[in-house]
Amino acid sequence: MTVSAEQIAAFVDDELDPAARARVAEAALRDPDLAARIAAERALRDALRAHFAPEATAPVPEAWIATIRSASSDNTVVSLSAARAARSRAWLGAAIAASLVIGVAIGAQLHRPGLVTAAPGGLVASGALAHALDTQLASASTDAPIRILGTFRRQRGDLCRVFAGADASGIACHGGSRWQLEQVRPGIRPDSGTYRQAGSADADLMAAAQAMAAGDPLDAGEERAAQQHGWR
Amino acid sequence: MPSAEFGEQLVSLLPRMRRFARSLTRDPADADDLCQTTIERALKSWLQWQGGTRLDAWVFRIMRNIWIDEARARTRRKQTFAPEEDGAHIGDAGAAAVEAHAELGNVERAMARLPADQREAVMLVLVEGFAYREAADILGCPMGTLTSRLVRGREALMRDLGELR
Repeated sequence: MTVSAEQIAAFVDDELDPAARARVAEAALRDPDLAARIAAERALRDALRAHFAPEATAPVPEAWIATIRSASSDNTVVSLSAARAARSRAWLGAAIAASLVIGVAIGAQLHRPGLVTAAPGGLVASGALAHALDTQLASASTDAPIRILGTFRRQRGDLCRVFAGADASGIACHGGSRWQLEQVRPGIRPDSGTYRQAGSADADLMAAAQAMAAGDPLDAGEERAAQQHGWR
Repeated sequence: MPSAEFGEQLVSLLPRMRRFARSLTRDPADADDLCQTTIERALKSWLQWQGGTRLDAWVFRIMRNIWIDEARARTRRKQTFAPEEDGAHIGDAGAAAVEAHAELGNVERAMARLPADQREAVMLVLVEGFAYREAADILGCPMGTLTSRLVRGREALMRDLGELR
């Protein structure tokens, strides 16, 4: 039996099914050259593993660990409550306004499949959500199917908007050409009946927004100006 | 927002991410930049990770894609011609520099001499221990392409590191 280079590699890497594996092992018993080749492949793998092993346990920059931990949820709970305590007047006002919204849920159904699209860099808004983010002003959208709760600027300078709809809610930031979803949460559904009972879910979203924001949310005039500048 | 569990898994992958980044970039500073970008991307796209699948494979694929984009952009900036297919030979600029360091061990030098596509295949399968299927997914190539890169990479390494025989 002739054994190809691919088969030798697959044998050493344990990628052969049991029957093929047995055939190669048997061939190696009769063929010293093949046996030597397999041994050399194994030695190569062992040498590579040994050479690179120390790096797999070497310390990494603390800043990386801090970045990850501060972005994952356990720590966020802590920082959120801290953020709540430090909430500025403008954010408090916006959160109260959001929690008091009692809009009539009019019948326009959201286009479920099209709201969010997976893109190479993450999730981006599409369809009705992208449209709402592009066109709706927080000051004038209480009875639209997707409500915009606020607009703010993040530390790195880009604009973000807080949205709430029956199918999804969250925070989207404008990444040059489209709305990158920074936070996606369940939809805030109208209670049975025609009035929204969205208060606490909205307030949570606003608290998350405040934690991300560089300052106060945009007021109506600033929001309109931001829209005219393409949300940049 | 990523769960604490996702975060801790990512933290535990950091040394291996750095190791893979170094093998891609051949430059420690570039490798750390690449790691940082990858961390940010992974935190941002965590929803796309399918729980129950290997986080390391997912993160490595993100890293490798970022590097390919970055290496392409650099190539364009330098206005030099480079084959566009598959990013095969992109990112080799550091190889000569690595070879210049006489103190580097034989393994390091032999790895540095490999074309990028063979080196990443060797790293993923022989060093990181990914199955062929997983490695092919990370590299976004067919299994057959992966195995042939692997075979060519191994042959070149064995030629270079003759004393292993």
